[in-house]
Amino acid sequence: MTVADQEVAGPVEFDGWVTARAPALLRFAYLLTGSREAAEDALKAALSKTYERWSRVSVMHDRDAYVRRLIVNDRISWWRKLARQKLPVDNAWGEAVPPDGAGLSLPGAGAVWRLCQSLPTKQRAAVVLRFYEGLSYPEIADLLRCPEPVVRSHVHRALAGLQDLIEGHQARNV
Amino acid sequence: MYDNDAGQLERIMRRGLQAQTASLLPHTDLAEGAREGARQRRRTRLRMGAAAAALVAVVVAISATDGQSDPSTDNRVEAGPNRPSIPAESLGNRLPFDVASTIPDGWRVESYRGVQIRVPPTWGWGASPLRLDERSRAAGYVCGRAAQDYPRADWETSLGSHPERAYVGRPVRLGDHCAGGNEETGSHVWFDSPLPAGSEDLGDGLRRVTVDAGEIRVSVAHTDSEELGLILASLTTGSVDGNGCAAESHLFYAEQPGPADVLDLAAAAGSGDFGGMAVCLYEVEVSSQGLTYELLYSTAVDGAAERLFLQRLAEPSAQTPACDIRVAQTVVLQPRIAASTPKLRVRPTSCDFGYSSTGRQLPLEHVAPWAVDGIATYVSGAD
Repeated sequence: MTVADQEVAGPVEFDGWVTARAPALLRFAYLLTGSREAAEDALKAALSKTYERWSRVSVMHDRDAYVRRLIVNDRISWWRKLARQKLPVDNAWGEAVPPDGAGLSLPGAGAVWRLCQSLPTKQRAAVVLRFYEGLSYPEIADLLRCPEPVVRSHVHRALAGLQDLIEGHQARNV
Repeated sequence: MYDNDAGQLERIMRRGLQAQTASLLPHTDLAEGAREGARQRRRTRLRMGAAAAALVAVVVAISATDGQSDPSTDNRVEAGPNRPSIPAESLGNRLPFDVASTIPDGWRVESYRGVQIRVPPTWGWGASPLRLDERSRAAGYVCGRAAQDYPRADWETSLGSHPERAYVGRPVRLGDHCAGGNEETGSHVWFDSPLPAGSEDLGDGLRRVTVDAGEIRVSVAHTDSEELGLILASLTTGSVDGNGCAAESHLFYAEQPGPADVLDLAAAAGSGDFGGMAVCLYEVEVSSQGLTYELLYSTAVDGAAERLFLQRLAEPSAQTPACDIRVAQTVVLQPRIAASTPKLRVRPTSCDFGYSSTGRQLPLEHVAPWAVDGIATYVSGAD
């Protein structure tokens, strides 16, 4: 189902919807942009456009998907303008969180975050949509307007990067 | 060693992302911010069209001459339109003066080198008088009513004489057959008018007012006194016009993504994300400061045409390249996709995009979506 196909829900009031959904959308924007300031700017811009089209958006089942697409598109455009910033992952370990019974040191939120930031925008969007928003691959493919195998490839490579990070860290600590 | 378990990796990723955003809450009233943003966007569209084009996000531009100048990357951001002073006495008592807010919807933007005016949508395009002899400012009229074009459904031009139609003239040579002088008897706007500032009665109800605007003069003649006042009231100057085109540029940024990036952007966009495309025609001038690109004409196409153009551009075509733009002219296309304003520059002579000699050439089907309005009138072929 595409976003455009979802115009079957009952209309809701804009302010109430923003109040309810803004925290989640801001978190999504933050994961995508990497900074609070950029996230708020991206969300404001997306909500501004959403407000202009609210008569249509308000009756969509998944209004969040519409806003997320605006944020992603906006971020892709900025990414194309700015040189991509790759952070070194060698030093991006961060605090460890308790492992799941394996007794091994695993990366903490900081490490995952820096790894995520090192990804190209579209790949990062795929990762965030998959593991933070919990969307299915077809839903992500629809939102990012790219084939599902490409989405799977984005996610797979991100996980492979995470595995490399873990193994590299463990090798240094042997 | 760590067990290569996909589920474990996914859990780590999920926990990491969730922990990173756990305490994040909005600082501001986003609903009110969205409304204010929408109001600003609406005001911007109404007053200056795509002034956001000055915020260049992505630039695709290559000069076929030396690659050093690009009108699409002017960093002098629009500071708001200025309204030239129009002597009230020149308008006569019949004319409304403070009528800026009553300019009818649907009147289109016409601009030339930082001077903008709005005219009824039925007005066509033609030539202003050219000075054949610099010592006599009004002597030697060229073309004028002898060569104009008018809004039409297809993209091809049909220059000819249309004495019953009003038009907007620019100082360009539209054909040798125009030389010899033509005195006007109908309504017109002349950018870069050779006439002195003031008002004159041309007979049969035709009144012409000439005013200074920016670095040029503009003459407006009309048989309808109310519309004459409205056109004059719409006269403004600025560095970005209502279609989103910079009035001039000297600058060039070296690092620019290629057309493929723009096409990626378009492919990822929803149909509602296409905000329309500005079409900016520049003339290239050589001076001691290098190349300068001066805006000769601009127009805009809607989101559907913009999307069609980008879709066609993404596909291979078997057609023969159609463009033939004079070396001294350049067209800059500015699609508005989502929140970005990438820019594509059509290179002179071959009408293609891209870097150096690697650009792709454009067949008719790639040109037709944006070669509208006065483009066909003012884009001249290779010398």
